Order: sequence, then structure tokens, then C-alpha cells
Amino acid sequence: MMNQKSNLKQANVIHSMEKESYRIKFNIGFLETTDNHREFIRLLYASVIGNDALPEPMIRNLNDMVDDIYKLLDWAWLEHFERLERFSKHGQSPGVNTDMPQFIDYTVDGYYPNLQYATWIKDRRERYVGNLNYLTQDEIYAESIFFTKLFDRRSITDWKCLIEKWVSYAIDEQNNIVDAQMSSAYEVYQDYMHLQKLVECCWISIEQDYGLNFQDLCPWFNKDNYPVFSTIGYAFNPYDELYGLFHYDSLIVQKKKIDNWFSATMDVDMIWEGIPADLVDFYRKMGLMIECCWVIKELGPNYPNEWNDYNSYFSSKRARDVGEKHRFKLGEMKDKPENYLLLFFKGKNLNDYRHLLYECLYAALGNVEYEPFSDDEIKKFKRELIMLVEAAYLIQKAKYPNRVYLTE
Amino acid sequence: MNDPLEVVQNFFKQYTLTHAKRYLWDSVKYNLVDITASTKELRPKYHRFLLDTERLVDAAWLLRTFAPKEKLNGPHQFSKDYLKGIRDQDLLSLLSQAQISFPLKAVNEFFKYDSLCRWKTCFLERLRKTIVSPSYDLFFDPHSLEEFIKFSKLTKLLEGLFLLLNKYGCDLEHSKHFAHENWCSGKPADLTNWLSEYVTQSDYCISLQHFANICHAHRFHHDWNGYNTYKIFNSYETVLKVTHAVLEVLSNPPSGNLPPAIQKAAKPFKNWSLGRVTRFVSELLLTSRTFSTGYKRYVPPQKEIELVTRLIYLAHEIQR
Repeated sequence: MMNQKSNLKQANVIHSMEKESYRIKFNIGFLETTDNHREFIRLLYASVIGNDALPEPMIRNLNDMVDDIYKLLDWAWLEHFERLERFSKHGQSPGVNTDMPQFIDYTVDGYYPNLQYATWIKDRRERYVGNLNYLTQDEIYAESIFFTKLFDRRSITDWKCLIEKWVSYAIDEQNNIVDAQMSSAYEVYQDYMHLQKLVECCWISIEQDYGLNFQDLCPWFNKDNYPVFSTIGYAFNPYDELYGLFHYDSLIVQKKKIDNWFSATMDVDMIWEGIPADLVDFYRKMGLMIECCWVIKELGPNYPNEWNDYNSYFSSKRARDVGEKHRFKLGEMKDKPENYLLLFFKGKNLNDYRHLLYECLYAALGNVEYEPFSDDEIKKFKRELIMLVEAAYLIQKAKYPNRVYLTE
Repeated sequence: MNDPLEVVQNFFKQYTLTHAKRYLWDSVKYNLVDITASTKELRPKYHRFLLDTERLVDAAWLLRTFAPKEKLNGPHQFSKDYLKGIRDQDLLSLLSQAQISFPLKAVNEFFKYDSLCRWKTCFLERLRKTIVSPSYDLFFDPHSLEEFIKFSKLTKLLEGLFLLLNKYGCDLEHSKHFAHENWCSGKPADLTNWLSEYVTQSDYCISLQHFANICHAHRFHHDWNGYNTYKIFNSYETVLKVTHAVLEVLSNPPSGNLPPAIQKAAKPFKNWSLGRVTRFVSELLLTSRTFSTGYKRYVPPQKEIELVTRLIYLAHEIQR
């Protein structure tokens, strides 16, 4: 790791050290499809393991295409390097209980959310319109898995040397890399696969930046049920997000806020007296919480490993925890809060709850009724929401027993 | 890359010093004019050579940065006579006397004006890319001798590393590199035949014109009409070939003795060697007035120029 760092500084590892190196991936000649680059790599591979050279029109583009692949490597390496640096600075995120939460009352299929292989192939084709062929499901949800594989295999300099060697066989009409005993056919195939995946990885990363829909990215969302309050980052670590929710406001404050909100909602004559923006902000927070809880419930114990790490450090003091004697509305479920999630989402999904939340907000801010819902439904929703806040509080507390929140 | 010396050693196992210089010269020439069509089969060979050269430059950089401080003496500590011998035979063509005694100086000089990064992006990478697919934005400037300097520096680096290996105690067999072949003019045996063919084909004015080109590049710094780098490079090659050939003929006359008139004319060249001519002609280009920076030393070598002119003339006389 230290070696790699000094290498970068001294030996000009990065191919194009431009000022906007953080924009490297956007400067690569594809945004629409991965076809050109994947086809190029395929032809390059064919000419490397075969005796023929690349066809003449391809050779004319060879320099540019190889430059693109170098840039891709640079990008991947910068991302990977950042992760390594963060890791070396903070180490494994401290104070995370990796065994939590425990889902004991119901079982989830051990492979969930990953699709079965046959389903996955079909699904991948539908979601990514043929732009991804090699990335596995895990690698799509977390690039870091692929980056680690890529650079465990070879350092960035060695990858570039390898590609240069490939080029020398791509213009060679008599020899191939296997007969010249540079590497075995299996090795070359593995390298080829890695390069293909690199192209796809960059494509999906660009797509995410341009706002790929959740339902296209994660199999646990679909077109009728998707988050709107969460950004990609939140959806990728709901535990961290829940922790953040309880940083500034304690559980008791949150419950009081819900109380205030709903009293303004239920009483037609009463209008919200505080600052409207505060209420909207709280509404957003509740929406976010519901979405996070939904993902936690949906993935159960099979959540991705990355969720055990966090990158956010708070510099202000954390709101107080509730005492031992606090009376939870959850009652007996206090010890197994994750089971409440199952009850909460029994008849409704994210869309339904969003509708409810919105009506409550609308009614609280004006003299209007919550149109399609009855009083009982709103009362029930209030009760459920308070219990969900409690559950969320308990879940994040169990997840981060000794989390570090103050860093200089 | 953990052991740069090993990289250097492997390089010289793969290429002899003479061949390496020859390849380098050719690749620089390739970057001046599009001649890929005729050299399609050679492409991969040159490409791999340039890749290895890049590794070699990397290794040199590491050697320079982390050079062992204490002086190491290898098993072969060369005698002065031996070094003078290989220098005269043109195995070491461009190193100065000081660099021969302290080869690390050659490595230092290499990185004095250009960093490793600059060497790679401005020179080596362009050479390599042109081999893959020539295009005009990769070609070198045809109106400057900058590339000749780059070539000479890289050659010096090759020669320096070649000597350095033994300083650091690596056992490098020189005999293989010594295969009595010149990097520019080829095997001496072929050279005599080449000369007779050459003389029947072309008048001595042509050879003299080639030499005049070089002198012109040496003397005048602004007038490049009618001259371009590729032409100068060709002239350089021809002049070296002709002079090397005549020196070869003088030292080993094909038909016993030379006629007395020629013997008399050859007298001033008794002590001349291949290396001396190469050094002199290269020096003419290196001290050229085209460079405002870097090479400021300007020697007016009128007497030597005259001598070389006579040597070229002699080449045509002998064959008549």
C-alpha cells in the first residue's frame, strides 16, 4: 500500500494527470453504450491469442483505444486508492456490531437479494439493455468489490505493462502471446474478463451519476415500490442513515415532533404554527426513515458487507439516548425491534406510506382534510409511525454500540 | 523492478549493444517519415524493443535515485587499453572519456534536462505509438535536430548502463556484444563489397554533398530550406558508411598491397579508427548551431573537416 503510494508520486503511474482527474471517467469516449470498447477489447484479445494481427482499420484506432483503457485504469485506481487511504486513516469503522440486527422470527432465502443465475441473465438484459454482460450482481451494487479484485490481481503499472505487451502482439502477424510463453491461455482469458468488466464498471458508474433509477440498479426495488427521499448513498447504507437521524434529535424529541405534527393534521381548524420549512424537513426525515427501514426489512440478514462500514463522522455532540426506564410503545417487541418492520410493511409498501405522509403534511399546513383517508386510518398511522421510530432507534443503537462520532 | 540491475542485465541478454543502437536509430528515423508499409513484419520487433527500452529507462532512473553509495568493483575491472580498444572499435561510440571511467555520469546526464516523465511522454511513448500506427501528430519536428540529441543521449545511456553493469559486479560477457559489427555500417566484410557497389553507382560528389549537408547543419542555424532532419539523418548514415568502409579497406586491403599513390594519401589516417570518425561526425551534429540551448560549445574543426573530406575522396579513389 505504501509502496503503491510512493510509486504514484514518483513514477508517473497515472496516465493523464490532468487537473480534472476526478472527471476522468467522463472524458472517456463512451457515455451511451459500452459496445465500442467491449468490441475493441474482444478483437484485441482475439489477436493477442491468435497469430493474426488486428485488421488494419482497427490498428489505426489502436493508440486511441489503448489510451482510453489506460484512462479507465487510472479512474479505477484513483477510486480504489481513495478507499485504501480512507481505510488506512480510519481503519475498520469502529464500534459497529456486525451481527446486528438479528432477524430471528422469519427467514429469508439465503441468496436473497441476489437473483438465481438464470433469472439474473434475463433480468440483467432487461435492466441494462445489453450494456453489462460480465459484472456479477454483487459487483454492480458495489464497485469496490471489483476494484479490489482488479488490483489484487496486478498493480496498475503492471496492468499497463501487460496492455503494452498485448499491443505488441496485436500488431504481430506471426506470433501469439501463448506460444511466446508470456502467459498461459487461462491467464490471458482472465485478464480479458477483467478488462471487459472494467469497461462495464465505468459505464454503470457514469449511469449512476446521471441518476439511474433505483429499480434499475437494485433488485429489491421495482417500478411500484421505490425510494424517493433517499439518494443512492442512503439506499446503500440505511443503518448509517438511521444513525444520522438520531444524532441531532433524540428519540423523545422525535416522538414529540410526531405528536405536534399529527395534532395539527387531525384538527382541521388548526394550522401548523411553527416554521413550515421545519415541518417539511421533518416530513422528509420520516420518509427517509421509512425507506431505510424498508430496505433493512427487505434484505434481512443478507445485507451487503459494505453496510458494516461508515464514512460519515459527526463533529457535534450527539443527542442523548433515552434512559433505561423509557416506556416503549413497542412493548414486548422492544428486544426484537426488527420484527416490527415486518408488521409495519405487512399491507403497505413505500408508495402507500408516501401517500399517507404527504396527505398528513398537506393537512397540517392548511385547513384541509386528508382526503381519501379516515380519522381511524390516520390515528393508526400515527401509532405505527411512533412505533417505527422506536424500532429504528433500537436498531441503530444495537448496530452501533460504540460508534465514534467525534473526530478532529 | 525491485532490482533495476537485473532489468539492465536482462536487456543486454536480449539485445547486444550494437543491435540496440541500430534499433533505436531506426525507430527514431521511423518517426520522421511514414515508412510503415515496407516494415510491417518488423513492427512487433521494434515495438517490443521500445517497450524494453522504456523498462530500461525506468531502471536507470531507479539506479540513479537509489544508487549504491559505496564503490563496487566487479570481477572485471577494465584496463584503460581495453576501454580505449572498444571505444575505437565503435562499440562505445558517443560516451566521453570521463563518462567511460564513471558510467554513472552518463545516467546522470540523461536525466539532467528532462525528467523521467518527460522522456516517456515526449519521446519514448511517441516512438512506440508511431510503430503501432503512424500519424502526423506523432511525428517529430522535421526541421530540428532535437531528436538527434535525444537519440545520442539515449545511446549514451545504453552504453553507460552497459559499462555500469560490470562496475556493480554483474558478470556481463562482452564478447557477444563484440561481434565485429558496427551499429551503423554493419559487418566489415560486407562493407568492402558495399563500397565497391556504391562507388560504381554514385559519383564522389554525392558523398561529398552528404558530408556538406552535415557541415551545413553544423554551421548555420536558421537556413533549413532544402534540408530536413530525415535528409540529415540519411547523410549521417551514408557518411559513416563510406568512411567506415574506407578505413576498413585501408587496414585490410582486399588485394594484398595498395598502390603507392594511395598509400601516400592514406598516411594521415594511419591512426584513425571507426570510433573516431563516428564521434567526430556525431559531434558535428551535436554542436550544431540549430540548438540555442543545451549544446553551446562550438568548435570550428576546419582541419578535421578537411581530413574527412579527403577520406571520402579516398574511398572513391581506391575503388577506381
